[in-house]
Amino acid sequence: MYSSTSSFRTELKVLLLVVSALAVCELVVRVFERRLTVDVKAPAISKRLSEAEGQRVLVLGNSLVRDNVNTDILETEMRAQGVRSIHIEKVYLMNTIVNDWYYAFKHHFVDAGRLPDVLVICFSYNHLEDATIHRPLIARYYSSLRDIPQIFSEDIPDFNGRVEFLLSRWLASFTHRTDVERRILDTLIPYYRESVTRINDALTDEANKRRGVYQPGYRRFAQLLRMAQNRGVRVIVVAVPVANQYPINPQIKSTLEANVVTFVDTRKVEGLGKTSFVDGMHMNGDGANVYSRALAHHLVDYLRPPSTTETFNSKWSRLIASHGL
Amino acid sequence: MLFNSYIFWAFFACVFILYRLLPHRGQNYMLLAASYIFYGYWDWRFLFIMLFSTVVDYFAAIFIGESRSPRLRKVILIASICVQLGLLGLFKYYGFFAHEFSALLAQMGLPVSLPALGVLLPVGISFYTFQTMSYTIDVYRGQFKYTRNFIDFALFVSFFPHLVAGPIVRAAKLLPQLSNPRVRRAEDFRDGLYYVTTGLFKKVVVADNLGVIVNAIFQADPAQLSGLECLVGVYAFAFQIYGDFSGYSSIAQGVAKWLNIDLTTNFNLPYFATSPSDFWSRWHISLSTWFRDYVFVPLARGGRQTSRPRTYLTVIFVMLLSGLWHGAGWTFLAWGLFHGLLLCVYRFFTSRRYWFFKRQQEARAVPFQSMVSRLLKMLVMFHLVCFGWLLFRADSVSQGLSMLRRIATDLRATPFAVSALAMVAFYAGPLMAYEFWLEQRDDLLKLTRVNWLARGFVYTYCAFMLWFFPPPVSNVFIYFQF
Repeated sequence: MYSSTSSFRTELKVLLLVVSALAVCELVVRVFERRLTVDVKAPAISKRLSEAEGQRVLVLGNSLVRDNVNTDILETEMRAQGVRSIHIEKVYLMNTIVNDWYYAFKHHFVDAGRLPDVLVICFSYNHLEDATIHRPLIARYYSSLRDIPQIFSEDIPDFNGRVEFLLSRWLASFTHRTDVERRILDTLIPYYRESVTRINDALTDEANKRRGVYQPGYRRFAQLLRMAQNRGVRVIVVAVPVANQYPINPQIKSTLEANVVTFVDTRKVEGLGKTSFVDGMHMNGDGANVYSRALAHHLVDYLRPPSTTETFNSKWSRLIASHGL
Repeated sequence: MLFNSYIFWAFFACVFILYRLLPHRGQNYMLLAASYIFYGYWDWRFLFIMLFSTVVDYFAAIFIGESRSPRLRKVILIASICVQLGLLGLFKYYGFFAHEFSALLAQMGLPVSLPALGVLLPVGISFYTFQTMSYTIDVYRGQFKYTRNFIDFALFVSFFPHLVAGPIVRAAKLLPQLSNPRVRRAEDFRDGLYYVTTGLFKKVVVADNLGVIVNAIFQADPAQLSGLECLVGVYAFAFQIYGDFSGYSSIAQGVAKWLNIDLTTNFNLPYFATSPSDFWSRWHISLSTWFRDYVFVPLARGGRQTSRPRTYLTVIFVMLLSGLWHGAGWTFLAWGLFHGLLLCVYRFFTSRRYWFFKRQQEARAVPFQSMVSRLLKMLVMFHLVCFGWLLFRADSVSQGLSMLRRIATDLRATPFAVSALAMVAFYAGPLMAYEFWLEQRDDLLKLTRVNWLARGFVYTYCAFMLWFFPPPVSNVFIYFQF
């Protein structure tokens, strides 16, 4: 091919070295994958839930669910209030929004045939608005090959995004590259977390400026509600408290009304103050305990078994009607 | 279609396969089509502007080359330059000048609203108009024989690796390579790999990762920043713009190498410059030599000995033009003016033989004492360049001055400043250490001539950083806007 092939062959050796090194990185990441992410646990959670006795409740959301909702306290409180047979599991996808929760629920619960009886969706601020999916997570842990046409047509229209999605699907090192990055920089760079918060704020401001005034959409949220309800899963949507009060877009309420879904507003909870939050969003242990008890109190009516003369569906309709939605 | 995107590499893989399958003429047709697809991918309407620019200078060069009337030749050249500069002025400068002119009239009590064009700036227009202008001027000067082959000329203007952000390659270098069958050289794959790897590292790892720090600092109100934070922001921008632009040029060179075409080297370790003139012989070489050959030399009476004030004025004028070339804004003009003044001061003192400004004749392999003095000069020059970058990056001259005031009065080491400085060192430090090694070896391609294992380790480091340290947001190349 070349006038002299030795140079070409030497460079192939160089490339081979590079590829080998990256292959070693891939192996190392795969070995430590369970430590890098909680997402690997989702199949086990869905299996555990499907095999549980009594009412099966799935709490779905992001890190707010991880830090603010204590399922042990929820279960204990429920039992104390007469809900004897209940099993609650939570699935949380870090740094995600409703578009991601849709695929998580679809993949691990709908497509896997492991539907819960009740789905509790926890959100705050703009978590229910349509936005870009977390490609690496969805690619590797929350979708199957069958989902790819839908994901490519509805969520990832660009070529680069699709390539990154496929790379994330096949390579653990690509999925977790930002996790590796964060851990290395957290070790090497002083005050890294504080700085990243400041940089993130600046990036968010810039993105908001670029975006200007916009009208959020809730298409994916509505799809998630319909997907669950069409399969007989009761849905409860919970507005979770954060340090500052936030408004709820009227479109959320109209989407809930259109789909006849229960809305539980826990933005204000007695006993929670600014000091209950570590960073304005996530609660400390005490805050999570207070909130979980309050949430149990809010949910108990919806999860208490119906009396012998009342079916679940009729009780559900009654509760929704009494809620005024 | 950015060089740091998957779509570009998919596109290039197709081009490369076709290129290898086709004979020479077929290669040129295919490369022209590929270049137009590459350019049209941004906005297909831009193609018409480039095509117009190409057609004008294609015929202008033929008329200039074939005309025997000096007067007619001159008229055609001027007409051609007017068309090219007119395009540039219309798309790039009209908005700025119209706005400033209206503001001036309003201050004089004559409120006039000049029509706004509201047009997009065609990507890379500054690069290809300068390239075609150099062609017609070279033909006019008799330094280059015009071509009658429209495909070759159109490819010269639009050759995709350097189309949107340079380097600005002269016709004498590029056109013969396009007109004649390319020779497959043994070292092209190796050199191309080197340029592409280092270019991607500079762009993705260094420039884009530092870009977020730069944005966070320059978007903030200077009054809320400490001086050290401002200073770190300027350092970060110095490495960002270098990584961004030299990274693009490097990838362009690498891609062209894989097509067996040589492009001009655009950067020669600029942050190791020891003087202003040394800096401009290392930074954006293709643009500075363009201004030297087509503006400075003619204005300084053909390079003949001329009066000192006239030379200084010419230097300042050229640097102002250079600033304006980078963008229509007062900050760019301030940057150009600063560098013009810097060159004049340097010229003034070197002519009087002050120790610190003495020209470094023996640039490399110097004894310890000279080495210390050279490092000191590099450090001073780097900070002078950084001052220029502060003006360049600031949203307004007043913001630049406010930040400068903070730097001069408040050097508190806040957690953010320490963290950002550590990040600058983490991303740009290894690159600078490597470039220092190149500087000492006086060979930009030294790495391609060392043992393959050592090269493999360097590339592995680059690949590791590219893989595991993606920037938070993928940025377009800064120089596309120029």
